[in-house]
Amino acid sequence: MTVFRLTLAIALCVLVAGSVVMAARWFSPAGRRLPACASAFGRALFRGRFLAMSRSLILEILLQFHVLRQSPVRWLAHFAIFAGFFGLFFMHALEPVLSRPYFPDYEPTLDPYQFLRNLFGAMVLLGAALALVRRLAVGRLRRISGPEDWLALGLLFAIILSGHLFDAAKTLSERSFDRMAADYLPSPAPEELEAVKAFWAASYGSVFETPPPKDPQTVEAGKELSDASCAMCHAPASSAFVTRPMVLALQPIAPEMERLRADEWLHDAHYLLFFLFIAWLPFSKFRHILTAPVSLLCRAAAGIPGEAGGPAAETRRAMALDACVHCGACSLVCSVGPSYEALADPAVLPSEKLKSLFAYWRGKPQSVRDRGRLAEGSFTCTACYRCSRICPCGIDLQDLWLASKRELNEKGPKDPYVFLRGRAEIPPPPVETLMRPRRMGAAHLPRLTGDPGTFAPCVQCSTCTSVCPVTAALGASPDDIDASPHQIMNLVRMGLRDDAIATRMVWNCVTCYKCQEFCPQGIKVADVLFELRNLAHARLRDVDFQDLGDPPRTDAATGRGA
Amino acid sequence: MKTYAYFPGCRMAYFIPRYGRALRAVFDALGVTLRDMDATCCGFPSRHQSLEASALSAVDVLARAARMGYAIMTPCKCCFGHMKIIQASLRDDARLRRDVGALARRSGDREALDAAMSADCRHLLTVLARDLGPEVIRKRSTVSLSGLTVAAHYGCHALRPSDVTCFDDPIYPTVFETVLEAAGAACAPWPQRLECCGNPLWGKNDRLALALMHRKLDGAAASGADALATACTWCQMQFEGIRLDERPPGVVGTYSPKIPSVFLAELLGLAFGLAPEALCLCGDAAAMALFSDHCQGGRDLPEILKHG
Repeated sequence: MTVFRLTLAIALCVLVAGSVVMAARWFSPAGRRLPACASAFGRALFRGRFLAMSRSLILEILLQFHVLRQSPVRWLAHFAIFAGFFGLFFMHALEPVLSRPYFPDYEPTLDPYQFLRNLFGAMVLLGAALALVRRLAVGRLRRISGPEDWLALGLLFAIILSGHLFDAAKTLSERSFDRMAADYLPSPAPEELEAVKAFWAASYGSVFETPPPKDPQTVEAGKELSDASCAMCHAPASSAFVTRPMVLALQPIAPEMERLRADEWLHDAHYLLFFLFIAWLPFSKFRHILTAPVSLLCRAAAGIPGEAGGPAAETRRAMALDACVHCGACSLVCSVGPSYEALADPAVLPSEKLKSLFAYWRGKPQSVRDRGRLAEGSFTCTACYRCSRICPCGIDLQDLWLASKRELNEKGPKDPYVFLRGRAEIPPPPVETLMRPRRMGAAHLPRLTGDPGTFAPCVQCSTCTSVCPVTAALGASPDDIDASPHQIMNLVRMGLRDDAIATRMVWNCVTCYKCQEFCPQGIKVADVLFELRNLAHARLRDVDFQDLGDPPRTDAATGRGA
Repeated sequence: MKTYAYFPGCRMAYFIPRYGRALRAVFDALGVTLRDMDATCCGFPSRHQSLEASALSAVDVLARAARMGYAIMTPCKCCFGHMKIIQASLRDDARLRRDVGALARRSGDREALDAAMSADCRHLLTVLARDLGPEVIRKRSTVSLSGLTVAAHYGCHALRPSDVTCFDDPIYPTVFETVLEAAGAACAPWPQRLECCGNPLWGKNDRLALALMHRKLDGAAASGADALATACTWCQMQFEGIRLDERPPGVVGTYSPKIPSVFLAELLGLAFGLAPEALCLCGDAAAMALFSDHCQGGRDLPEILKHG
């Protein structure tokens, strides 16, 4: 027992230490953020957000109605795990400090407690099974699920199943029976003991080395004795509706289990798995048990959309990764989901971008490729606000994206578009990338720009240039116009595609389509410009975003990017 | 009763939810049903990055609308133009059709391409001017907008390339003026009405984005307009959100007068006599000034706008 107490103590220390470190990260620098958070909280309470916060506590945190509105299946899965797990936690895990002192009649093997334990266990199992099926069945969710997601589900199953299996092994065990009989059937006559064994074998499923008689008289006699000595602590087996089928199924191997002392090590495994859960909690997605309620209350206090700046908003931002349960709800509704399908860049999806962004913010080492993907994902986002509105943990994702885009453009890795605008050339991709399987077919190959027919009718009349609003803005922004549209068409016609891509004009195009509309020869000028930008982006992906973070050809005079 | 699959696009929900509410109020008043779509990105913003990715987005939106059985109505010209361009490109470009079809199949939708090709995509302006007609708007307008001169901002993506978008005459379009005049407003002769608002470069090259915007605003003010009317989310964001005080250092050119920019839906709501609460104009000082002036009499409307 001391080993268990020691393990529990260690697990609890890890839990507390992990949680403190986590919270410290939210509030550092504490001198700035703590007072701001306290005053924001006070303001929220006294300026009418109290109702919203109470509402969030009951409807969102306890009942999770906001998830029910989004997806009944997801709600069922989560609520079953939530309610079952907390039922077990308070009634069963905290038995010595809650159930026994406050419920004088409490006995784990008596109804309603035995029934409730089975009910809660069944709820967790059902919820976890639903969650597992959903993760496997929804393609995009399966693809973004990582080891942590599967491990967390596995641990839930393992804790609950080990508990029920322990229960079943104990019921089956002759040694357990003997121990109980020694305590509660003091000096029985041999035929009395046989009768009780007969009754327990018949109604609870216990298995004995020498099978007791099965005749009704003996079983009846055993029932009377059992009623007198056992029933005050043992409800009928039927209410243990999860354990009972396990008992019946395991009966054939009961002697073997008895030999291996299965009840003992299942007991140990159940405890240790739960201690593992406690210790892992602050480092795994299970931390959302602590953080999601805080995050949801913050959302209720701040309103939607929340305040954009200030130390309190920074704290909320710092909380985001810790509050995320990686449920994938945001990534399933992400409006640029098709870009994820096409580019195969996980950082396009909010749930994955969140992880990458926090790795970036916390200064964890990231490969050039991952930094490039973070930039690509960040600037593919259209800030449509869907992820923020759906997040069941109340994370203001939109605020994160708006903040991170600003920061990325300042410190790099930049918006690939802005990066490319200042490049004289992009290095050619390594040869092996040519062999890469490509999701988008031939997207990296020229379409209009590779076809001489595209430019054959061009007479260099420069109509495209004379209608171009960017060329017309030459006076206002002289550095930005280094080639006119008809010169670019001429470059591409001569096969100097890379030189065309290196001009600023290609990247300063406003896509107004006037050039194309007014071309007397029907040349798709604007579409060609689009294609040049597409090809540059494809090349950038082929070189794995090489040094996207480095400042490009500097030119302080031009706008935000270059 | 006419029904459309309503596609608001990506910017509205967060940046100007007011516009969406005004639009719904106006369509309610016109007796037109707008059905929500479970989609928010037409793919236009990723067109620079990848034609294929942006086409896949458009296909997703178009296929959804086709399966709902309604034509799309979008208040965003970029959405409208992009979806039209993608429909045409898929029709003409076998390579794009093959690659996007493969992507759609991998996402589990085998018939997406066919559904998308059969979808019908309309813009707010053509819905008002052609599907419903100016007569309907004229009948519904109870508050006179006379005395108000509006500069109609056409912008780019609905109008061009005209052979693909089939929106209006690319050189002398009239659809915006038709709607405004039906609601009782006068239209300013604004030479730059077909030019770009500058928003496509916002965040990419802010100086150019502002230079283009100011050229337009200067022209609008010179044409004698009291307000600018927009019918595109991106354009409205450019004129409304990105104001003179955001002009970065180093920007040259004349400073434009503060000429307010109002959504078409808000102007129509005003003409239809809808309550400001229904239009959610309360957050918008310029639109509020228009409204209070017209409903309570009082000061000369253009005066208010000049000070607003």
